[in-house]
Amino acid sequence: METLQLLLGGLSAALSFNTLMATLIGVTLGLAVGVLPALGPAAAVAILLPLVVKFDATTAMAGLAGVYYGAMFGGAVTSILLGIPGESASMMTTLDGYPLARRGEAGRALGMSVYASFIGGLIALILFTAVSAPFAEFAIAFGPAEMTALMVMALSFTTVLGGDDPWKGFASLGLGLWLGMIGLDMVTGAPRYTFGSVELTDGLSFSVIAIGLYGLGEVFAAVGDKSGQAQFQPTYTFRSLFPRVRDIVLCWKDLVVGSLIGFVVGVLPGAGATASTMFAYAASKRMSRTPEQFGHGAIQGVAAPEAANNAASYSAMIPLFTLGIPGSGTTAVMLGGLLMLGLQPGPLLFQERPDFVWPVIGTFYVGNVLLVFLTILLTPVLAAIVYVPLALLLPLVAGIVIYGVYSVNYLMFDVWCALLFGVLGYVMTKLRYPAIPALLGVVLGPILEQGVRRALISSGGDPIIFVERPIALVLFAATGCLVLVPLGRRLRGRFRRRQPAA
Amino acid sequence: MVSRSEVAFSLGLLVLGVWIVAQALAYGVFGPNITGAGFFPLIAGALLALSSAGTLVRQVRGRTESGRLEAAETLRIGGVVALTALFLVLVERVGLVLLTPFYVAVVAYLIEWPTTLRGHATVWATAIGFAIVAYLVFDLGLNVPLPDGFLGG
Repeated sequence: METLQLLLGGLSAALSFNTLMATLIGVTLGLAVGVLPALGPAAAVAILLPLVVKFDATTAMAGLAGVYYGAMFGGAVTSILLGIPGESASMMTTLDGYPLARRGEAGRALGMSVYASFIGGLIALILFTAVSAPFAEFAIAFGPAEMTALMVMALSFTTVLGGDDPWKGFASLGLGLWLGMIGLDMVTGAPRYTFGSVELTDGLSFSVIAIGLYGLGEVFAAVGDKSGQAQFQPTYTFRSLFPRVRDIVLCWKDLVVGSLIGFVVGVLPGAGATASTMFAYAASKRMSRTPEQFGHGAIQGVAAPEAANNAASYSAMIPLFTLGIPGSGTTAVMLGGLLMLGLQPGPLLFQERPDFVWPVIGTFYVGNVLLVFLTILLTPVLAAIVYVPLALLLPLVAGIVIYGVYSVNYLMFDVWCALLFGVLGYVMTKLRYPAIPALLGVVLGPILEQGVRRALISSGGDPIIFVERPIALVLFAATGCLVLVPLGRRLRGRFRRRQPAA
Repeated sequence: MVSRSEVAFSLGLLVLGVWIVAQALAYGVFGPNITGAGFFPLIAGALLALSSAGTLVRQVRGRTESGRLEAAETLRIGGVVALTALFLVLVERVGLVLLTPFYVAVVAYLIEWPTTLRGHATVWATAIGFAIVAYLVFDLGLNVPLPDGFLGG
């Protein structure tokens, strides 16, 4: 009951003019980002960071989160109309959405994608509201030892977020940890890795690193690879975009199962929206009486993954808000954004800043409804965005990055740093070094260092403080499993490969 | 096949890792409450050095899927980076807003040279339009003191 009251208050605050405008702008940008294969939501959120920190925390977060879940709606448009997934999370939608468009049913597929995204979002938001507050309440018991264990666990997500090569993932994490330590030492005040530069004594701004690695890095990668430009234009009518009752009845199971899968997978770190669409698609195919139609234009093949990716985008914010740990690239950038806004995501956020948390959750509900109308209204525009030549789009993104980075601290030094990180981001992308662990290191490294050193000061230098509490022990054990299980699997695979040869 | 660019990058990270460790030792790894200023940098540097060394070994043995930097692509991106660097050097003297249309247009030309008159007009209209919007949003809207170069006296 109390949760419901808080939610109603949050919804009312979310409908205030400033917050509503931020949500509207965020979701509209998200739709555009979802359409563009050259720009992902993590890059877009990173680019927007310097702009949004000028506003109050709720307004800023409403805009940033809007970009994230808006991209899930937008990604389906080009997947269905052009067979080009604007986002990796829309890849599965292409399998049946595009064949539907090819046989003249683009409107039907688009209508279902909007409806499925809405249902997925709604189910995930109801669960989000029900689960997050009690979860945060449980986590309030976390002291410095538990928080340290939690941060170590979050950093160990590198094993799942770091791509196929764990060595490269850990190298990226090491680099990020080091970048986060540049500046004055928090205990002794001694400068570390500042090269005598005054600008570096305060450390590198997270937004500069994130914009460079993700924003500019993606721009440079897109300059190098100009594929993904659309060639074929299907036809559809505005009327055909509305979902059909028959399809809704036909797909109800796929919508519910897709939403639930999306919610659960979205909470898991590293799994993300893309994996959830694959599970949802597979489950939908298994449930179907006509599985042979999947891949050839089955409407359920659009419903299940679209419900899943939107549900996952909301549930991915549960660990971010309640524990302060990001489970994906976009939520890692959003965590940096929360810190820039002066907020400390984690268990205490729900207790100390209900004036922030509930309005933001309110904006998720509002954004989910807004996106239904916006997607239907803007579909022709969104489809046209794909035809904007990259030669025009990329210089504009580079320009926005330069203005945005400069406006954080009014320093050209920051722009130079962003350029440097842009080059680094590009090289890392090309050489298949994942950037997410580096961002995790930049954000979580200083928090971990602060936690450990403060805990040790309070215990008079006795490290036993980290293992004398059961929750911390469980978290450390889980971290051990996270690191050792993939390693064990790899070694077992290698052993099996060697056996036949022997 | 071993990618030279990947080996060079891993080697660079390895050297950086070793340097971070050396600096961390100089800062002092242990202090009155176990950790000194160099304790965490030592962990970060060691992690970077060890994982780069691991990557390097795997690359040389051909056990990792190699990425590579293609010469033509790198040249095009190098052009955009060099142009951005030149832009940043000139911004303080000429002014950010005044220089923006030229930057946007030249980057557009570097990516793809328009073949029609309409294409050239679109590039310049976009570049000038962006500069105006950026001025309105950042300078007038958000009160960001943009570098105004010689216009600012």
